[in-house]
Amino acid sequence: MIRKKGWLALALLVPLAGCASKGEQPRAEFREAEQAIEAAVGANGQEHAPMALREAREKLDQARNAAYDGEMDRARLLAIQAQTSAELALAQAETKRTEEVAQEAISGARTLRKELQSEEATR
Amino acid sequence: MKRTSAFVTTAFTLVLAGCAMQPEKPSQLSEAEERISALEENPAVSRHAPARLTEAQRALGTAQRLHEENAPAEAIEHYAYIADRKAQIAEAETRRALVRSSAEQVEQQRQMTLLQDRERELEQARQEAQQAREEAERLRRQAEEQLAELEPRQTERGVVLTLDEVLFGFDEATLEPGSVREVDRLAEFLKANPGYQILIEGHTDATGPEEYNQQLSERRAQAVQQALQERGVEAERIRSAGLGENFPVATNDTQQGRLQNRRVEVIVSQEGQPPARQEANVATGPEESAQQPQSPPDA
Repeated sequence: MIRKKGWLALALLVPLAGCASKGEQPRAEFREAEQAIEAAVGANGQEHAPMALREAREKLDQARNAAYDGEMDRARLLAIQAQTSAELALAQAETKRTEEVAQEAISGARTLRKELQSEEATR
Repeated sequence: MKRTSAFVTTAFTLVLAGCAMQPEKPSQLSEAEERISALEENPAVSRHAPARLTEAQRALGTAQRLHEENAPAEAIEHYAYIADRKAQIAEAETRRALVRSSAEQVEQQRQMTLLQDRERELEQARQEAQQAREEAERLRRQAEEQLAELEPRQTERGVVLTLDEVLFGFDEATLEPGSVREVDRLAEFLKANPGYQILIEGHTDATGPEEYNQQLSERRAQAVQQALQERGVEAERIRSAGLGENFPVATNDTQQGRLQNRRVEVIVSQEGQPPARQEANVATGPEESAQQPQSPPDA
């Protein structure tokens, strides 16, 4: 509690956190975090970037709890962190997908080369 | 790099200036600094994910400034966190771009391999066609050589081959075993040269009735025709005719002469240009046959 109170007092000094007036729900940040998580799930982040996606969800939960406790500035920062984590999950999932496609292309090319070589050998 | 060394200098100065005043640097900030300075040293990152790198650097700058200003740890840690995750996004995007470009190279190589394979197949087909042409040419030359061995004579009716060794016994229209080689050669020549057709003319000596000799000569010509067909020469390329005893090539007075007269001649011509049939030689035929009217045929 002491730590929280101290943080709240100091948070007013932080420029970004200071923009929002205290006591108002950071709805826009929540919505953006939720959308980013949905996008990551849509890109199969559950399978391809589970750690980043889990972190994004945890951050969003923490942000909601903070808002529930009336700590709106903290809620805003956590929502932004959730959004960033979800963006990381999306990026990692897309990269993983690209790697899979590339791997298929590489093994396809290898198969083709083998086929041609064995064809050549039987000639 | 400049930023990093500037930061290191600043941090060092701050540490010297007053460890007591400056709170310890949050580990998140140190980690973000390390990650981002590694990205700054990687040219692929600024080429493939410049926007993400800038975002990471900006968040890191804010975290560092807050740290210098003794801002609360939570605020510093927030920006350090954002900087670190943006940096990880830059890493993922860079890796994606590199993987994609290497996959494109693989695809290009695959296309190249396919193209080379097609070209190799075409080249092989060309070589096989060339070999087939050379083989056909070789067979044609071989056939010509074989024909030359049959000692062709150029006459006004075309190329005439006398199958000297195609001999018949007395009153026989059956090919003797020794004739086979001559017939084989002729058949090979005709098979290798589909553009030629032949006229087979059978001849007898002057022994015996003329009418009988006529039939005998026809049967002899037909015997050769049949032998050629049995060796695969198409029937429509062969005509045969019996000319009886009317065209002797030697005297019928000696046994040697009569043997020569019992013969088969083959006139070779280009397709569509059948050789003219020989006109009956009335000067020698009847005269010779009249000499021995009572003799048995061909004796």
